[in-house]
Amino acid sequence: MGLSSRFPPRVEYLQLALAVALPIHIWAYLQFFSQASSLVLRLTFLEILHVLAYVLVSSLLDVLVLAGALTLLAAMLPARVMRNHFLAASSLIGLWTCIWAALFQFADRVAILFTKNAAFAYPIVLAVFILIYFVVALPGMNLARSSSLIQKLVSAYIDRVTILSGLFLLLDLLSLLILIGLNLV
Amino acid sequence: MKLTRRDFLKLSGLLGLAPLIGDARPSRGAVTPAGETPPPNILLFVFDTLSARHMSLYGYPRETTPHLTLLAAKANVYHRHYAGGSFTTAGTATLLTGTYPWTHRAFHLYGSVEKSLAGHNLFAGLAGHLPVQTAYTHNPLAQVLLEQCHASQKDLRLLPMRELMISANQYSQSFPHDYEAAFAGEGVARKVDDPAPPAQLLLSVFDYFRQISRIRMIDQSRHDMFPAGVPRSTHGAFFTVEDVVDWLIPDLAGRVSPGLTYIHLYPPHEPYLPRQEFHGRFREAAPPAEKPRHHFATPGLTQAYLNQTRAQYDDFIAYVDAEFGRLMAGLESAGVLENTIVVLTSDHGQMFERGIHGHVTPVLYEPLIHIPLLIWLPGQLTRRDVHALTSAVDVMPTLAQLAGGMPPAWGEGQPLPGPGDPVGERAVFAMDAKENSKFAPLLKGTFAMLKGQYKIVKYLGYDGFAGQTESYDLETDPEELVNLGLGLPAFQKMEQELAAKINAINLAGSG
Repeated sequence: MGLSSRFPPRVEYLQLALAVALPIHIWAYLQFFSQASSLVLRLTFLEILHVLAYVLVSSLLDVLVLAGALTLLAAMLPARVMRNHFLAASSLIGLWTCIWAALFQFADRVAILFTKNAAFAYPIVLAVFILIYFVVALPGMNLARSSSLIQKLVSAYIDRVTILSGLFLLLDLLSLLILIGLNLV
Repeated sequence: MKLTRRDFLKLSGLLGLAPLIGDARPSRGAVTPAGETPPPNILLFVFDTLSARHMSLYGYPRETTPHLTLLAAKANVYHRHYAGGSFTTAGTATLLTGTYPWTHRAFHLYGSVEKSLAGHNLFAGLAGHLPVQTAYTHNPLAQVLLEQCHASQKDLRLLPMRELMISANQYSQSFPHDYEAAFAGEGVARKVDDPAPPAQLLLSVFDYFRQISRIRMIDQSRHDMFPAGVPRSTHGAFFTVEDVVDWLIPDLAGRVSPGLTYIHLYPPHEPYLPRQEFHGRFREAAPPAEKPRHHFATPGLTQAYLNQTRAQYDDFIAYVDAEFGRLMAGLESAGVLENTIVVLTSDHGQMFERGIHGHVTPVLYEPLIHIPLLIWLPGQLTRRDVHALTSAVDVMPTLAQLAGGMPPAWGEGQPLPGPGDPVGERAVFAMDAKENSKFAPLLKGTFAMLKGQYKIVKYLGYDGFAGQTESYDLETDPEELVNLGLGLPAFQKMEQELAAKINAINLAGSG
């Protein structure tokens, strides 16, 4: 079997990117606007847009890396695990990864909740977080390939987010062009 | 323009620097033809967060700066030198532009100088006389300002921060032409020194784990030398003062033409991580008397914690003091000091009292704004103590004169006085206005004014503390324990003067 046959069709890769782009960008915009109050004190509107461009390019990187990693995973694992239902399985894992990553950002606060000795609690909290990721991800992957309902839900989700995610990615690309222009000129 | 010894002394006399220079005798450099003396090199060395109130040189009871005390035997020591602000951006911009924060407007963390004034800087001011210019900093906040200087002074050799670091951990350094926005973008996207979650959702998780292993690896690699950890910035960069000193000595010794060198090192900024022989040096030292908690005290911050961190900070100062001593010894044996003016100062201080640790605070007590200033002139053989009030805004005009030029017209300072020079009724200022817009009139902030022995601090626009005034007689109350209010006519006059100053600035800004 050729190497190229192990990879999913490009259109599915693009659909996966659209699926994960939504949570990644919602998170990025939320964080950006939560910090915007400190930016407006010292930057002009144009400068703030400029800062946003860097943030969006970092989100584009997130999308490409996550979609790329899941595609690579699908190519490496046996076909029945992920490749046969690539879009459903990879999108589900991708979405769960985003949710998990968002929760992970609060790991240090969780550690402090349990004990004042954060240095002791922190490795345990991290280990629990990692464990939770796999405890959800592995059955999730199994569900995605066996449940037609899940497959339909993922497909419906992608249909509905395509335009918004496409807009997000377009703005990312625009940001990338702006940054290239600003740094090369 | 080449400056002969006669020119140099004549100019110094003209500019009121003769007493400052005294027995200084610039000697002939190795590359200078017989009969000519080159203009002096200038090395401006900034230790970030070095409070004069923590230096034994200035009377601090812990022996934190024995090397500087020894070196001061041949230097001009300024005893009442003040920063323009209480954190890196405001303090450094004041030093680099020779203007107060209300003029340069770099009074926010990560901020920059007002764009229209970006060409008004030390490097531009000295370029005509010292065209060979080099700058380096560990501190990304100072780098924002240096990149601005570099944009207007293309000949400035601005070293990338990673050049003298063990590990930089900063992606925005890859965008030097657009550093301010890139750095701000990185600050939002990555979890750098901000408790807020990063905007980059996924790679920040990898970044987090990479950081953990990176810190462990670097700390372990130098554990014998730095048992508490390798010195680092709050932005996750690792460095040692040794590396900069080891680079600087041969770099200066190898210079063919005289030039200006600006070095701004991160230590003794927190985290306090001194070399092994300084680690725990002041652990057992008796803590100073406790001061009353301030309105802006951090809730839950105990005096025991403040005492502990104070001792660690003092350890770290002892480390940088030793390294500066090594630098001066190295420069002397390399012959560099024969034609080099060395200036040592800081951008702001640090505080361990009144329930406040650090310097990102609205208060402007002495530990935060009283900074060191020492100047070594070539050939100077005696110590000269200057007790007149001076400010960071004075450094730029002084260096311009020492380089053989005139102070740039844009500066708000004046050439530094020599010992015993009459200074008149001069006032110096410091301010903090992080919560005030850069583009709006100054309505929220803290403003300090010093005049003679008196100091007045005005708090504007703070919830629950607006309009408060603190006034101290620093001669009788150097620890600022007794707020004299506005009882003395001198304070009433100072308050009016300060209010008029702020009004004038706001009016000029709105015009």
